[in-house]
Amino acid sequence: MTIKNIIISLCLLCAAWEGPRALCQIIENEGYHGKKVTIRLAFWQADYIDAFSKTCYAFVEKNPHIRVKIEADFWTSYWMKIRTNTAGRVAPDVWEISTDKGSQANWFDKGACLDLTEYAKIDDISLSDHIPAARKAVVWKGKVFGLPVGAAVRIFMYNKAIFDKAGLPYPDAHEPLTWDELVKLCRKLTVTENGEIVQYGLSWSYSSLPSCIQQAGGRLVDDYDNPTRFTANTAEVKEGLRFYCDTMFKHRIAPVLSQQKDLGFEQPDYALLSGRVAIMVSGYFALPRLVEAEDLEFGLAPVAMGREQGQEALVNLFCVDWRSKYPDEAWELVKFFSSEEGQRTLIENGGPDIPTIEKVLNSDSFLNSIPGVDNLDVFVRELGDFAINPPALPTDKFNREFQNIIDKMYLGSISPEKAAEMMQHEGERVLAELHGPEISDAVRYYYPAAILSLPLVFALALYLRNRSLRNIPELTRLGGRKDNLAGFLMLLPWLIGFLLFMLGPVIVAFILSFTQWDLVGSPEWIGAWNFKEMFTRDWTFINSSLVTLVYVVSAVTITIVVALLVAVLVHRKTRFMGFFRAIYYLPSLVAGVALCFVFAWMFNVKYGVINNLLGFVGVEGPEWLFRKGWALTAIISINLFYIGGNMLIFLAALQNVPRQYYEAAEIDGASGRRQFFHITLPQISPSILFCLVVGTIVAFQVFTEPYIMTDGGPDQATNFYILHLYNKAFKDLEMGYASALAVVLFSVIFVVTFIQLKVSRRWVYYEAE
Amino acid sequence: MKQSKKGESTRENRDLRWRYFFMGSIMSALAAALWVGAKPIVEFLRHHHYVPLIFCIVFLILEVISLIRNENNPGKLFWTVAGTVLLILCVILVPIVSPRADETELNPYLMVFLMSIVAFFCILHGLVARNTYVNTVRYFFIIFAAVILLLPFYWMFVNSLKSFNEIFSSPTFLPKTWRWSNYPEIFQNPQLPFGRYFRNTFIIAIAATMGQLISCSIVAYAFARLRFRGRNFLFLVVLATMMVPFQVTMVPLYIGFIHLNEIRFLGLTWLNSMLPIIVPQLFAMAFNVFLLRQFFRTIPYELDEAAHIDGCSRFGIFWRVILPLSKPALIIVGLFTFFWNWKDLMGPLIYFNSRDNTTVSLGLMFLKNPKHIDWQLIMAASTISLIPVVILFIIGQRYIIRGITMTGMKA
Repeated sequence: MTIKNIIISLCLLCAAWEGPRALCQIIENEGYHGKKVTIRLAFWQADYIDAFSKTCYAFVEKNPHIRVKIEADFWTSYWMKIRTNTAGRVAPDVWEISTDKGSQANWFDKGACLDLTEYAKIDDISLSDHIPAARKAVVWKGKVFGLPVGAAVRIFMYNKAIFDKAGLPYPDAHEPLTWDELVKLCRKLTVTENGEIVQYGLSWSYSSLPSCIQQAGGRLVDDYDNPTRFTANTAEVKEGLRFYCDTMFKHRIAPVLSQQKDLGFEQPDYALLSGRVAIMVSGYFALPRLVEAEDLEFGLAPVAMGREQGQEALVNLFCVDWRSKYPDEAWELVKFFSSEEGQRTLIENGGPDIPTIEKVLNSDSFLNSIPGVDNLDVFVRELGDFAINPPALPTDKFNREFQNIIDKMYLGSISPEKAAEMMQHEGERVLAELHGPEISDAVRYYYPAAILSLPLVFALALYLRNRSLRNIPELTRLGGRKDNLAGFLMLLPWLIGFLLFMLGPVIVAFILSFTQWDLVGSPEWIGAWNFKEMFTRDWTFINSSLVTLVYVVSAVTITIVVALLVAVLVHRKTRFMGFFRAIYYLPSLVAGVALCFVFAWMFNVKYGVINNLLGFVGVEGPEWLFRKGWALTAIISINLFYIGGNMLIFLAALQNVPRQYYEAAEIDGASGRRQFFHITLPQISPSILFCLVVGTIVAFQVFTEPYIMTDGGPDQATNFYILHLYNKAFKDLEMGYASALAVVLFSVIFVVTFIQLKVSRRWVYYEAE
Repeated sequence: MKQSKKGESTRENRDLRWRYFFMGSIMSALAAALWVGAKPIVEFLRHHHYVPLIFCIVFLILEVISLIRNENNPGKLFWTVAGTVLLILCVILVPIVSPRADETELNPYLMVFLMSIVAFFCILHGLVARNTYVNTVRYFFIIFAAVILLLPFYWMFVNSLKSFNEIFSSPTFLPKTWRWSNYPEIFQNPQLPFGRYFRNTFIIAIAATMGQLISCSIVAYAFARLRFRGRNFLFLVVLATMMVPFQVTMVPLYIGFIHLNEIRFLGLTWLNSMLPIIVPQLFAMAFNVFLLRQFFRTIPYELDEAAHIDGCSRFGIFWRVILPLSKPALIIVGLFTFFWNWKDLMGPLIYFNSRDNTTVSLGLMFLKNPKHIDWQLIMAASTISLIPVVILFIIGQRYIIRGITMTGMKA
């Protein structure tokens, strides 16, 4: 069995060498032999790629001169990909945008999507066939940037078996429950065993929070289409937040969302499948998997209502890339997917979204699209009557700040009321910033000159001090003649790389740090504004600097002190020394994504080995990666595993300490401790300095651990400097700002190394030669 | 002198060693049974917690007797006292520390935890240390540290063999059923072509390794053996570039590759391909140059001179004298470059952004994204991704450790 599986794996590895490309399909009309144009289409519903490809077949049937290349992906990685691809000018011709938290406005403002107003006018496309939410989503500042393809709303789905067992009637498919009724109902459905909740009455989805605010009658801005004032601190918003939090913390009828996965529940969107949740909030896309599940009987009901009914609808739209080579053909594809025929084809072939054209919505194609589920009209009512668009606040920054506040609320560290106040504060700031920074002349021209001259002055001073450097005696012999040409030629492999990939980029980074550039369009000179913003306004920067500093100090200390201890331990004549050395060195050598995953799993609150070992001894382990105070500790403590490199260096140094010193000290009556501090330490101090300098530089650049294990969370407690830089550069595409961050990092590393080397003269002992 | 010492130690020591061995074995057997989770033994100990205590007390009594009989061992008193204190702490602390234990019950696990430590210590002492306690303690910590450092690897491997349901239940040190089928499953997911990821990573790592070996050895030779204008200054520059973090050049390089891609430089695609990762590494990197130069300088000049007299050219000396002699250093540079490229995340993260075509580290990350996290598959994929590295490490281990101790460098 074992061997068979290993062989199968090997065979598969060989067979998969070239790799299948399941997320990539080329669809063309086989019958047509003329010239064809290839249009690339990207969307994020990779699970439903078949429905899209079938719709594309219908499309190429009608437009034989177009070949469609599908590139599907999943939600998170899709956004990463689209963002970098649009910036890199390699984006697909047609790609999908979702109106999640108003992000469509972002893309439109950046100019990443082609203005389709003219096309729409020529082809006489009328948006009035679509539901209102979809109509609003594609128009921004009076222009059409895309066409709606589908929409999504979430409703209640309940497990009939659990209701039967509790002897409760099913929720009505027409009349929504009120909040009070919901809480009462879910309390009865929540089951506790031995102080642990084994069955929850309710499981929220990720979009439930805005819906709760909506249902309480709260609005985040005064006007959703053209926001002028932020209104997050109203009583209604607070009420919505309060209700949402109470279900998790006070009534304890719903699991805390961010921890659901790690508690062993299914993803929120499929929580019913675990059989431990009575009601979940989910969308149309989840139904096929629910129907497939054997021992699950479920029903649909509208979401509960607070003061009013309502929730945010997610509208998916296709738009044409700004750099598309074939905009006309791309437009044809967009038009088809948005047309009645296209939407009908999509839904009949198992598409994941609800159609946006009202005619299709009310037709049998949609209402009977999932066999075995009869009351799909719940979706129609919810989408048509109550769904509204998310506010068009076109900044990613806002979304991220918002997310931070919500995370804090999930952790229970701030109350919903406080969260509303903080949102209000952030919102006002972002709204005010929409008009762009005001930059004074001093910031724009004089400060950059001052900043740039600093390194020059420094270099000059260094040069003047170290002029004697040139008199270092030459080490080569061979007749004493110089080989300038040969030397130059042999240096070329380094010199070219140095100029192209080191010196050039560093200079460009310096220049870029005085500009603002999102890669779309051309860079704009804003002087030292980036630096000013960084040190005065960007709290994430200050936080990440502090976190990184704490990390650097503790990680370097740990790796040096522990490595020294282990080296002293192993140093004396030990059996199997080579074996132990190899084992100690192994983790630091293979450190990377794989080990990070293992550590993340070992730190798991409930099923991790660390907390369980602690449990054996009777200590209740903390929620390592989910608690603000512990997450950084966890990441620092990983360094205990990476002591191998330093240990080997110390070991080598220890073996080079002359034995006579110890013998002499012994005769003088020095104790072991005194011998260690007065002979061993000074003798190996050059190695310590080396580990210190290299370790510091490496520690400043820590990225993989936080990126894999926490992604900066909880509440930015592990948002390391490089992570912040990476987010700025490749998530927000603020290349100028990211360069400024890089320049600051570079200067800090430079200064720290310089100081370390300077101070080292006092404590590092070099044998007189 | 030698003989008498040997004669002195035989009987006495054999007694002691057997005693330690015996005690340690019983206690460790008990402890092992508990760790694995044998229910009846847990239950038994829950109600008869005095059993291990009796063992410990017997052990201590024997220890005290030997202390009286054999007075020349100076460390013994200390350790006997320490053992007693530990035992007392056991009795007092267990009920206090353990939140699960109510008034009448002890937490058997804490008991066993302490017991297993004592047991381990005893066995070790009996086996290796010939009655010097300090040495035993040293070995104890050495082995303890090794076990801790290997734990992640073991844990990864064990979890890769569990089923989804088992992984989401309280952890065990062995899987209930060994699901080797997790491994083929990784390669069967058409949405994450791991075979392709492996291919890409291999290509990148091998190309970078070859590039570094060739370019670095040439440059290092120039720095080590040739005299030319500005050599020392340029070498300082090489050392200084070690200080420049990759993140400084990251953004400009990315922008540069965008433009190369746009004009289809040399007719190649420069984004979503391996080129932006490989090409910069074809040129010599500071660390490797430094390492090789240090090594080249340990090769005696007399060899160069001899070759020179025999009519060897500059390049001939490099090719026929220096390179063959510096095989260990070249192996280290090669291995380090390979390892570094194998585990690199930042480069692929920036330059690759589709699921179809990426490297192993990024592929592992994609495993975490889909609808539900299959930790057992992540662990299986992680295990596989480490296999090439570990094999290379085992093969080149001797050189790596020698190289580090020689030049004071690490990966």
